Amino acid sequence: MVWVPRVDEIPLSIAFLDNNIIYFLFKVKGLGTETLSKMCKGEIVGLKGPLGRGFIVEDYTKSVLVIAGGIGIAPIPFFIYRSKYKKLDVVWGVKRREELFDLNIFNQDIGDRYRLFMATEDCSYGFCGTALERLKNIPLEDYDIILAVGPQPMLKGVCEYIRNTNLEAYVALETMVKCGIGLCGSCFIRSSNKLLCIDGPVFRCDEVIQHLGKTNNSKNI
Amino acid sequence: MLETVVATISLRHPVMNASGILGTHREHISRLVSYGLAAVVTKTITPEPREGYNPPIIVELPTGGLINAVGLENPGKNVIKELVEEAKKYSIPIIVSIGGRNEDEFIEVAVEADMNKADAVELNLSCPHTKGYGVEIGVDPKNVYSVVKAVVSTIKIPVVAKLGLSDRVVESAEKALEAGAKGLTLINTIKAIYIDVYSLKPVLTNIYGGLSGTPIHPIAVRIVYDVYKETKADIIGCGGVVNWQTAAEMILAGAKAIQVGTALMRDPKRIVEDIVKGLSEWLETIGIKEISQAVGLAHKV
Ligand SMILES: Cc1cc2nc3c(=O)[nH]c(=O)nc-3n(C[C@H](O)[C@H](O)[C@H](O)COP(=O)(O)OP(=O)(O)OC[C@H]3O[C@@H](n4cnc5c(N)ncnc54)[C@H](O)[C@@H]3O)c2cc1C
Ligand SMILES: Cc1cc2nc3c(=O)[nH]c(=O)nc-3n(C[C@H](O)[C@H](O)[C@H](O)COP(=O)(O)O)c2cc1C
Ligand code: FES
Repeated sequence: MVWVPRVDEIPLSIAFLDNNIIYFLFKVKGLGTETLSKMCKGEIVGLKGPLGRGFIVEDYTKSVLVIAGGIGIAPIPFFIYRSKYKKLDVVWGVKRREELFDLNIFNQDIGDRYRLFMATEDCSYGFCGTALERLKNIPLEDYDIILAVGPQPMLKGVCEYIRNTNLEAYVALETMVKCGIGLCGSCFIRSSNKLLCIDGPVFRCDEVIQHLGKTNNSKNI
Repeated sequence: MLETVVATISLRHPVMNASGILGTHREHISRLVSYGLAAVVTKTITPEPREGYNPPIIVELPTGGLINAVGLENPGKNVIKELVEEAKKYSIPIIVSIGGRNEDEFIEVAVEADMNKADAVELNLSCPHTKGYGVEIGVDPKNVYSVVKAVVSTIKIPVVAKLGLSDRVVESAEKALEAGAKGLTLINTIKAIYIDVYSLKPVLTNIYGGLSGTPIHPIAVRIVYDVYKETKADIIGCGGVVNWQTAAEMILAGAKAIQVGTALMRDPKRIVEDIVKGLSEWLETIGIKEISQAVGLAHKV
């Protein structure tokens, strides 16, 4: 979690890690992310973590499909960098092309390690439609593992879409993270005894399918 | 050998969670049960839902322990029904922790717990960081008496009073018992601040928070010791219990049961298992058959 002194403490994924520099990719939502976006070199933030369980693939025989919606792409550069696999394809959907950026900004070398399929909802770039619609044009038989990161309705859509396949399916969830250390309970996964900050944020679809069916609980009380 | 009875509640071993560790949703109860606890304690519940403070709400100290200011975030008294139902599903005793700003609010939540057949209520008379709730009541023995009395005369299930560090804690404890409390939980967190030396600012949004974990253990043991000495009451020892040794100290000082809070943040199942297993082995080592015979033994010097 990133502490913006006297403003907020917000959960952010590590987008990349290199030579003692931690990179974050984030979207401005409210006061916390806005203040963070205006901070300059030399200003101080606090860090707590890494929290939860990291998620990487370590199997040269597996083919992996990542589906990212919007800023859900944040952890993907690091995921690509650290994972070992046979093949990796990334579907990245955004609303408008202005939201797209170069995923290799932190490390140009990862550029050769994956293929990228882009989709825009306003049809300004790449496939015309959502990430989920783009996914439906991809032959799932080519993959062993699927990882989805993005808004809850997209995750639900992915889990439902692949339900009758043999894919190992994972989703990175978001719930309200307040303490990050398993005490306050605000990040709980509905209809399960899991806590996102300890057991997540990545879960198998079958662990969280009931949670995904319920209303978004990033507002939990 | 670890069976114990505290405030008329029978427990298969003396370890339960401290209030505020999970305990606001059905899902939390099943998680707490999975830790291997003998009873579960809910988060402090107030009549109406309360939004807590914004993060940071908890900071881990470099020197050990935590400071928290969650702000008594809870879904309000209507959640009690589902929490009790869930605990009953696992046949595990459940104690509902209650917070309020005045007698009427305590009564309102206590009635809900009573109606839903919780095993006991624990009155939080000692939260150090939420204005109007708790510590203002707990430090004044007269207030302790009137709140406990009001609740005891309204409900049928046992009432436990949770007190914190104060100069008059023994007097407050005596008043709680005089008013009809069946037991005491000692202690809550202790008001504290943590300042970040780089940003030059207090870390918690609320600035003040409650200190818990290892740093408060000797203080908690002292209070259990003092209160037991004067009252011989049923005491649930709480504060910095992290292993069987710290639990055993509480028992020797006079506690019949133990609550664990902060230590549940890392590997909670193992912590509970270690305490329970460690306590049995310890009893064997010191040649005592039942844990009840170890309660308060440190007073025989
Ligand atoms: C495990 C995890 C990893 C994340 N990684 C990233 C990332 O890499 N990049 C990125 O842009 N965003 C990420 N997010 C989302 C990010 O934490 C929120 O956008 C951020 O907290 C918003 O804070 P704010 O003060 O700007 O907005 P606010 O006005 O405080 O909130 C806007 C919305 O953000 C969500 N939110 C606010 N606080 C929290 C919180 N404590 N925990 C979870 N959600 C919250 C709520 O849905 C809220 O309605 C992640 C969330 C989680 C749970
Ligand atoms: C995150 C957190 C939340 C807490 N919330 C409550 C609460 O709602 N009600 C209460 O009576 N005590 C609360 N406490 C205090 C604990 O119940 C306990 O008295 C204290 O933490 C000392 O025990 P420990 O050292 O084992 O943590 C909380 C403690 C922590 C760490
Ligand atoms: S954020 Fe507090 S338990 Fe996960």
